[in-house]
Amino acid sequence: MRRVGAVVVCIAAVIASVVVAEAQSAATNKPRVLVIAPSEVEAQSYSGFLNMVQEAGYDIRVSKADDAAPLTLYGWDEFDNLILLDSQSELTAKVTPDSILSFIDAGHNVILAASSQGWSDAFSTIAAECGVKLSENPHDLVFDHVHSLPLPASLQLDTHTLIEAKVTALLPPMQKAIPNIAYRGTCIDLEGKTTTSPLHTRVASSLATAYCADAHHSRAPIATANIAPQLMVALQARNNARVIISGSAELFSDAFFAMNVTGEDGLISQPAGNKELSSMLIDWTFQHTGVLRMNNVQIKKIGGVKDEELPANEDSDPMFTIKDVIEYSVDIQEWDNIQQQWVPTDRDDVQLEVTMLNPYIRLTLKPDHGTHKAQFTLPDVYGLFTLKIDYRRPGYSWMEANDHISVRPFRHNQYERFISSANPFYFASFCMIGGVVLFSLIFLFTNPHKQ
Amino acid sequence: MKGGKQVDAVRKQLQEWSQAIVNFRFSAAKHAFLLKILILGLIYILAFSSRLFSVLRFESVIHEFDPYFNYRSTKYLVSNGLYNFLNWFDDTTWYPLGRIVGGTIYPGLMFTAALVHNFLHALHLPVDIRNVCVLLAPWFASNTAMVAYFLTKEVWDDKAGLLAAVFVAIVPGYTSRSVAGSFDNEGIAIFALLLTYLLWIKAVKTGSLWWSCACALAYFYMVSAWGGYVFIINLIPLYVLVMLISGRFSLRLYVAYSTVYVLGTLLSMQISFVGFQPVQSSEHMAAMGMFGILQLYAVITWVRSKMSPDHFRIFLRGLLTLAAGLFGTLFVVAWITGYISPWTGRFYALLDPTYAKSHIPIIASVSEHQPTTWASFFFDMHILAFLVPAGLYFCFKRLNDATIFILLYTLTSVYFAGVMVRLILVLAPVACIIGAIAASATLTSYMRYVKPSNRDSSVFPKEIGWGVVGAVTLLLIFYGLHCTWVTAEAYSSPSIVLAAQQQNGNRIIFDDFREGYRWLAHNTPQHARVMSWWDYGYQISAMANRTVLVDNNTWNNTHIAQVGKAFASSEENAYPIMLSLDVDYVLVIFGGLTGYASDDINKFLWMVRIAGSCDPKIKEADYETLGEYRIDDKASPAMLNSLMYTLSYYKFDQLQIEEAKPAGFDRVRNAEIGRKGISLTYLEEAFTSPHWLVRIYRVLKPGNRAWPY
Repeated sequence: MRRVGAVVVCIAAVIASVVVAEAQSAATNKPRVLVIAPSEVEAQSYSGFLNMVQEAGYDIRVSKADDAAPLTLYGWDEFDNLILLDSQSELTAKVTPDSILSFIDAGHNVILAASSQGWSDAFSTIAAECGVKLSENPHDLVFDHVHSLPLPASLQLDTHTLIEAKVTALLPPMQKAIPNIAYRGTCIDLEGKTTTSPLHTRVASSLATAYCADAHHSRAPIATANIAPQLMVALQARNNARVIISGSAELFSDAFFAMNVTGEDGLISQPAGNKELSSMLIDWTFQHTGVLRMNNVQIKKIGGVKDEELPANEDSDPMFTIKDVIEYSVDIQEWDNIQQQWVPTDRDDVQLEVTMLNPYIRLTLKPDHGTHKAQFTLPDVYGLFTLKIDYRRPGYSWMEANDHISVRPFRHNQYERFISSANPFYFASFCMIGGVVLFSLIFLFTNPHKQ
Repeated sequence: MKGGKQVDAVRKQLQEWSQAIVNFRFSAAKHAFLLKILILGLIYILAFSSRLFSVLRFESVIHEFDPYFNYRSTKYLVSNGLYNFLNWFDDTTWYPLGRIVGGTIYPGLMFTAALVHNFLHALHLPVDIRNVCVLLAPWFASNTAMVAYFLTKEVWDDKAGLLAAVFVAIVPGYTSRSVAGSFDNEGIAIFALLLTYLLWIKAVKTGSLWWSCACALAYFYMVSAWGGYVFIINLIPLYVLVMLISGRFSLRLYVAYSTVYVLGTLLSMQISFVGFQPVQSSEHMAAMGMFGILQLYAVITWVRSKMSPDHFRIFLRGLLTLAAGLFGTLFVVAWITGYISPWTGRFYALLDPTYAKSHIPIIASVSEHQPTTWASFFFDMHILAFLVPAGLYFCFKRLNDATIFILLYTLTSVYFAGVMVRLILVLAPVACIIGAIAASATLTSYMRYVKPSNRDSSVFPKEIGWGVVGAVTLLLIFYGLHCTWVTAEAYSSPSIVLAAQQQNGNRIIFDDFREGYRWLAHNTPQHARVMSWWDYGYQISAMANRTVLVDNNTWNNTHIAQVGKAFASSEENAYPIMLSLDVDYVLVIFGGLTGYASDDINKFLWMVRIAGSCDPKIKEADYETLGEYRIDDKASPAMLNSLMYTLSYYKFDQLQIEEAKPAGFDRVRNAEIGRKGISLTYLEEAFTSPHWLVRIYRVLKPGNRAWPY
C-alpha cells in the first residue's frame, strides 16, 4: 500500500508540476499583481478578494514584505499592479517605499490598505507622498457608538470599532449605489494643499456620528470639526496611475464580505457592500474602466483671410491669422476591457480653451462617433495661443492637450484695400488732381499782359 | 640696324616724357585739390581702420545686445525677402505675445546691410552676411567723415572741412557706436543725420527744389534708420522759427522748408513703424505748426507788398486772430479726442532729466539713459569739449543762414547730450564740425603771422604765430592719441566675449556667453521657452534660437514686470508664475566668480523696481537691509529667498576661489554669500558655464502625485 501510495504521490506530483508549469506559462501572458500580506495565514483571510482579482484576469503572487520579489528588475516591470495589505512592515527588503512610489510614477496601480493593528513609518510615508495623511498615532481607530455592528463571535475587537460606513463616490463603471460597508480601521485625510485636489477622490467616509480616537489609551476623540472621518481615498496621479489608500485592510477580508449592515427595515439584515466595493475598486484601480485617451488632434483653418505661400519652416508652430475660422477636432476613445480594445466614445462635456495669458474663448466640443469638434473664430489679437483641453472628471483618466498655434496679424496686403471711411480722402485727391489740371490750363492759356 | 633705330626712338620718347613729368607743375588750385583728395582718401581709410580693433583682438563678431537683433533680422531679410520681412511676425520672442517685427523696427539698417550683401553677391563676391553686418558701421563712419567735410565746407570753408572730417573720423563719442561689430541703428543714422543737415543747408542756401527734394530723401533714409529722426523734425522748424524772428525770412527758406516738410512727412509715413505719427504725435506737432506759420508769414509778406499800411494792419490783426483761434481750437479738439498722442516717456525724460527716475523704471534702468557726467564729455570729445565754445564764438562772428543752423544744432545737442549719455552721439559730429571751425579759424589767423606776406604788415611777431600754431598742433596730436587710446581700450570690447588680465599678465578670455547660448541651441527642444532678464533676450533669440519671454525691445512693461516678479519671488512663489508662462528654462548671468560686474544680481534691484511698478506688493525696501543692498548674511530674507539669489548662488558655497577667502565669496560684491546650502525644489541645474557666467536651470514639471504642484 505504501509503495502504491508513493507511486500515486509521484504521479500526482508530476501531473501537478506539469499543471503548475502550464499554469505558469499561461500566467505569463496575464498581467501580474504582487500582493504583499503580513503572512500566509492572513493572506488566506483575503481569499475572496484575491479570487476576485484573479477572476478579473490577473496572475497574483502573494508574498510577505521581506520575501517579495522586486517590482522592477533591471528596468523591466516584473509586476503591473501592487496590493499592499501589510501596513506594519517597514518595507526594508526589495520592495521599499521609494520603489513603490517610482512604481506609481511609472504608471502602475497600487492598492494600499492600512491595518487596524497600526502601520509603519514606511507605510505612512507612501501615503503622505500620495497626498494622504494618516493619523499620527498608529493606534487611532474610528469609533461609532451609534452605527456600530454586532461583533461576530470569531472576532475579538474593541466595541464600537466595527462600524457601518458609506461609500461616497462611485467610480466608473459602477452605476447603482453601493450599500453601506462594514469597516474597521483608522481615519485618513487629505493633507495640506491637496484638500481641494482634483487628483483625489474620497471614496468612503464614516457616518456623521463617528469619530477617530486612540484605541489603546484614552478614548478622547480627535477633534474632527464635525466632519465625519474619511476612510478611503482614491488618487489618480497626473500620469493616470491609480492608487487606492484605504484606512482599513480588513474590509477586504472574507469575514467582512460576509457581514450584514442596516437594511431599509432598520434591522441589521442587508449584506454589506464590501464585496461590491472591492469589485469596483479592482475594476477601477487596475484600469479596466474609466480609461480614456485622446488622440489625433487636428487644427484646420476653414475660413478667414486668404493666405499666401509662406516660406516653409517645419520647425515653427502652425501659423494662423487673426480672425481666422478654425476647426478643432480630437478623437476620444475609451478602453473596453471586455473586448480588450479602444472604442470611440462620445463625451458631451469636453471643453476647449483658447488661451494666451488669459482664456479668450471657451467652448464645448460637439461629439460625433468619438470625434469631438468645435469651430470658432480666432480673436482679433495676435500672439501664441494655446488650444487647451484639460479634461478631469472623477474616476476617468485625465486628458490633457496643449497645442500652440501662432496667430499673426494681417499682412500688409490682407487688409481691405478700399474702405468707405477713406472716401473723403479719395475725393480730396481727385479734387487736387482736377484742380492742378485746371490751374495749369488757366495758367498756360491766359495772358495776364494782354490788358 | 632697324631694330637699333626703333630702340633709339623709344628711348627718345621716354626721355621726353620723363622731362615732361619733371617739368610738370600743377597750378595752385589743382595742387590743393589733389592734396584734398589725398587727405580725404586717407581720412576715409583712417575712419574705417581705426574701428577694427575689436575684429583684430577678438574676432569678427556682432557686439552687445541690440546688434544681435539687427543681425538676426538682417539674416531674415536676406533669406526671406523684403515682403516677408515687412510682414514678419516673430513668434519666438515675447512669449506668448509675439512681436510684429516688421512693424516695430526702423528697417533702414537691415535694408542697407542686405543691399550691400546683395550687391556684393551680384558681383560674385560671396561675403557672409555676418561680415557685412560687422563692417557696415565702420564703412558708414568713413562716409560720415566725408559728409562732415562737405557740411563744414558749406558752413565755413574747406580747410575747416578737412579738420572736421578727421575729427569725425576718430571722435570717441561717435566711434563708441560705430566700431566693427556694433551693428546698430546709430551707426548709419549719424551718417543720415549729417547728410540731411548738409542737404538742408544746401537747400536753404540755394532755395532750389532739387536740393530740397534731396534733403527730403535723406530725411527719409534717416527716418528709416533711427528714432532720433525726431531731432531733425524738431530742429529744422526751430531753425525756421529763429530765422523768422531774426528777420531772415527768404523765399529760399520758404521753398526749402515747404518742400522738405511735405515730402519728408509723406515719405516718413511710409515706414510702418512711424505710420501716422508725423501727423498725430506731439513730437511732430512743432514741425506741422511751423509749416502753418511759414505759410501765413509768406502770405502776409505778399499781402503787405500789395496793400497800404493801414489796410494791412487791419488785415493782419484779423488774419492772426482767425489763424490763432482756428489752430487753438483744432489742437484742443485733437488733444481731447486723443487724436494727438501724448508725449512718450523717453521724450519726457529728455525734457526733464529726473522724470524717468521717478516714473518709468524701465527707462531709468538702462545705463545709457542716465544723465551725462563731465568726465564722459571729456572722455568722448577730448579737446572738442573746449573747442566748441570757441567755435560758437567764431560762428557768431560770421552769422549767416548756415552758421545759424550749426549754432542751433550745437546748442540743442549740447542740452540733449547733457540729459542722456547716449545722446553724446548726436553732439559728437557737430562738436567736431564746430571744433574744426574753431581750430581752423585759429590756425588760419595765426598762420598769417608765421608766413607773413608782403602786403600784410603783421602786428604780432613771428614767434607768437609759431607758438599758437604749435599749441594747436600739439592739441590735435593729443586728440589723436586720446582717440586711439579710447577706441582701443574702451570701445572695442564686444561684451559678448570678455577679456581679463591675469596676474602674470596673460590675457584670459571668457567665452561663457556664447557657450551658454550654444548649449541651449544644442540641448533643448526646439520650442523650449527660456526665461531670462530682458537684457539677454536678443542674444538668446539670435544665438540660441530659442523662444524668450522678454527682450531688449522693451515694449511691454507689464510682461517684463511679470518676469521681474518671478525673479523677485521665492522659488515656491515663482513656480506658478513660471508655469503660467510655460517657462522651460531659466537663464541667469552670474559674475560672482569672475568679477563680472554687470550680472543679474547687480541688476536685481531694477527687476524689483520694475516688478514693483506693476505689483505694489513687491517693495524695494524689502530687498534691502537698512537701505543698503547686500548679499551677505545681513541681507534681508526677501533678498535671500528670491529666485534670482537662489539661482545665482546655487552651489556657490561649495566653491572656494581664493585661499584667503571663505568658500562662496562673491568677487563682485566683495562679500561672502549669506545663504548657503541652497536646495532647489521646482528647478534643477541644467548647465553652468566654465566660469559660472551663464547658469541655466530647467523648470521641473508639476509633481505626479502632488497638487497643485
